Amino acid sequence: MNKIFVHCRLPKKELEILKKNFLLKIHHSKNIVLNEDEFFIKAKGFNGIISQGNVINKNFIKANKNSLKAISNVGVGYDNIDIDAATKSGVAVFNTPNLMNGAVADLTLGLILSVVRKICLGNKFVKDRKWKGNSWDLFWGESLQSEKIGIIGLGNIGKEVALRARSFGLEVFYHNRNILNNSTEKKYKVKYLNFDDLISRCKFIVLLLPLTKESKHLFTKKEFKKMRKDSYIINMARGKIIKETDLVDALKKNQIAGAALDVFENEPKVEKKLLTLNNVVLMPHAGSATVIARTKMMQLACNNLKNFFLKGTLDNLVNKGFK
Amino acid sequence: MIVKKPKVFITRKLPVKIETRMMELFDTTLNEADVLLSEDQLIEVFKKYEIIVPSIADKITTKVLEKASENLKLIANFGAGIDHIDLEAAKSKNIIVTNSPGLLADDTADLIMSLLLALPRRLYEGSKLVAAGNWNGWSPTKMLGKRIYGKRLGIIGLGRIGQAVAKRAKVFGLAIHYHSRNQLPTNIEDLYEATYWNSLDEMIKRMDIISVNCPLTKETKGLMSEKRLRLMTPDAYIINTSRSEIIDEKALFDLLKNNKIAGAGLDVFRRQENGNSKLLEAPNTILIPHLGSATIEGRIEMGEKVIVNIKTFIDGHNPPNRII
Repeated sequence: MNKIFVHCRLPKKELEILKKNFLLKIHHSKNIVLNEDEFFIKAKGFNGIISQGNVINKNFIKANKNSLKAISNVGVGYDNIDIDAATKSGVAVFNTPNLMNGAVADLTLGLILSVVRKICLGNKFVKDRKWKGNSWDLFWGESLQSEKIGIIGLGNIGKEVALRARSFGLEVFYHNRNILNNSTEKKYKVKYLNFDDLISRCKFIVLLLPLTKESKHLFTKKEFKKMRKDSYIINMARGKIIKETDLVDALKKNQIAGAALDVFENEPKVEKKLLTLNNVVLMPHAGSATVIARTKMMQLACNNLKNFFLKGTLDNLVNKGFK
Repeated sequence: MIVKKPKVFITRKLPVKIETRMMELFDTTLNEADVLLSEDQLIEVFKKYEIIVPSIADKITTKVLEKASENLKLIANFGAGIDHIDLEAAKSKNIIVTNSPGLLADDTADLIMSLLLALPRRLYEGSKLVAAGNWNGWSPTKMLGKRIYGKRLGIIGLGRIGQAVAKRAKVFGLAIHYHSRNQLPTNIEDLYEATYWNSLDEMIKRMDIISVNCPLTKETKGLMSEKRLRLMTPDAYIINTSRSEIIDEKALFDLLKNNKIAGAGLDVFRRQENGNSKLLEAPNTILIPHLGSATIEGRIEMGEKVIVNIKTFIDGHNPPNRII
C-alpha cells in the first residue's frame, strides 16, 4: 500500500476512501501550514502528498525522489511547489482548476465595490457609533459606469470577472503573455492592451496571473507611478506579484487611489503599514472560500491522487514533462 | 433686458462645481458650514427666499410651508426621494416642487451589489480579521462563505434601481424574482429572465436574498412586517437601500439575533436621538450611513438636474422634474 501524507483537513467521506486504499498520515496543526523545515521532517519518505499551499522545495523533492511519486495540491496555483525539481525527479504534480472560477470572480467584484464605494469604512463608522449627524458629505465613492477595468492574466477566472464587470457598465481590457483569439475576445467583449498602456489607462487593475519568476514583483514603485491617480489595484492572485512596501508608499503619497487585496507578500503576515490605511480593503485569502467550492477542491485533490496511484490516470497534471 | 436674479437658498453643502455654477446663475446663498438647519431656521429661510434647494434631511413640514413667503415659488429638491416634503401643504401655497430622479440607478445598484456580495462572502468579517492583525493563515475550511451562483434574488419593486440590480445580478448567476404592484411587460421580464410573484408572501418564503427597492408610500410603510420577515428562511439575507420605514426593525433585530435569518445589509435604518440604533448590536449585519447615491459623479449629475429645473422655471416653462 502506498503511503500518503495529508497536509490539510479533508471531508470525512474522502478520508474514508483514502484510508481504504492507502496508509495515511494526517498532519494536525493549529497553524495549519508547516514551515519548510518541519515539513522536511514530517513528510519524509511518503509516496504521495496532499498539500495545501505549503512550500515544497527542491531539497525536499530531491531527498525523497526514490519514494515520492505524486503531489496533489488543493488549489489552482502551485507556486508553492518547485515544479522543475518535481519534473526532473519524476514526481507528478496535480492541481484543482476551474472549481472556484465563479467564487473568485464574485469576490473580485465584491472587493472592487467595497473599496470604491467605501462600504467597510461606512460600516465601521456606523458600528463605532460615530454616525451622529447627516452623512451627506461622508464616504463619497465613485461610479463604475463607463470606467475601464484591466485584467492582467485573463484565464478562466478572468473571463468570469470580465462578464460580471460588463454588467456594471465597465469597459474591459486585458493583458496576457499571449493575445486571445478573435472569437474569445468577442465572446467576452475584452480588448488587449500592452502592459504599460493597460496600467496607465485603466481605473481598476485586477491581478489574476500566476506567480512565476517573471511575475514576481511585477508591481513596484515604477509601475505605481505609471498608474492613474484615481486608480485601484485589486490582487486576487499571489501576494508576491506586488512589492508591498512600494504599494504602501504609493498609497500614502496618493499616487493611486486605493487597493483591495486578497493575498499578501508574506502571508499570513501583512505589512503593518497597510493596516493603518483607510483606502484599502484586506481579505484573508478568501477568493475561493465558499463551502461548495472548497469542498469540491478537496474532493478533486483526493481523486487526482487516488486515480494516479490506483488507475495510473493523469487528470489535472501540472507538469506535463514528468517521467 | 436685465432680469433680476432670483434669490436661491441651498440648505446643504453641494459639490463645488454645482455651487459655483449656481452662484453664477442666481443670487445664491450657500450653507458653507454644512450644518443641518432646525425647523425654526428653515422657517426663517422660507420667509426670505424665492427658491429653496433642500435635500433629504431637511424636514419641510406644514409649519415651515405655512410661514413661507408669498414670493417662494419653487422647491427644487436635491435628490429623488421627496417624502421629507409635505406636498399637500406645498400645493395649497401654490409652490412647485421638483426632484432630481433617475440618474442614480446605476450607482445605487452598484451599492446593492456590494452588499449582496459582501454578506454571503463575509467580506466585512474577513477584512476586519486582517485589519486587526489576527489572521493566522489560509485554510481550506476557514472563513467560508456561501456561493452566490444559482441562488434566488427577490426584488421588491422592479423599477429603475431594481432593474439595474437585476441586470447585474443575473450575470452572477442569480435567478431574478420580483414583486411589484403591477407585473411588467413580457419584454422587460425577458431581459432579466425575471419571475413575477403576485403574492409577496409566497415570494419571500422562497428567496435566498431579498432586496427592498420600492419607494416609501402609505402602502409600503411597514411592508416588511414581523409576519413577513418571519417567512424568510434561516439562510436568507435581506438588503434595504430604500427607506427604513419599510421594515419592522425590532422584528428584524430579533430574527438576526436568534439566527432566524442569515444576515442583513442596510443602507437605511432608524437612529435614536443619540445617533445609535439597536441594530448596531445585531450579528451578521452590515450597516452603512445612507450611501446609496453617494458618488462624486452622481451628485454632480443631480446638481445639474436641479440647475436645469430652476433655469427652466425662471424662463417661464414647466420644469422637467415637476412633482406638483
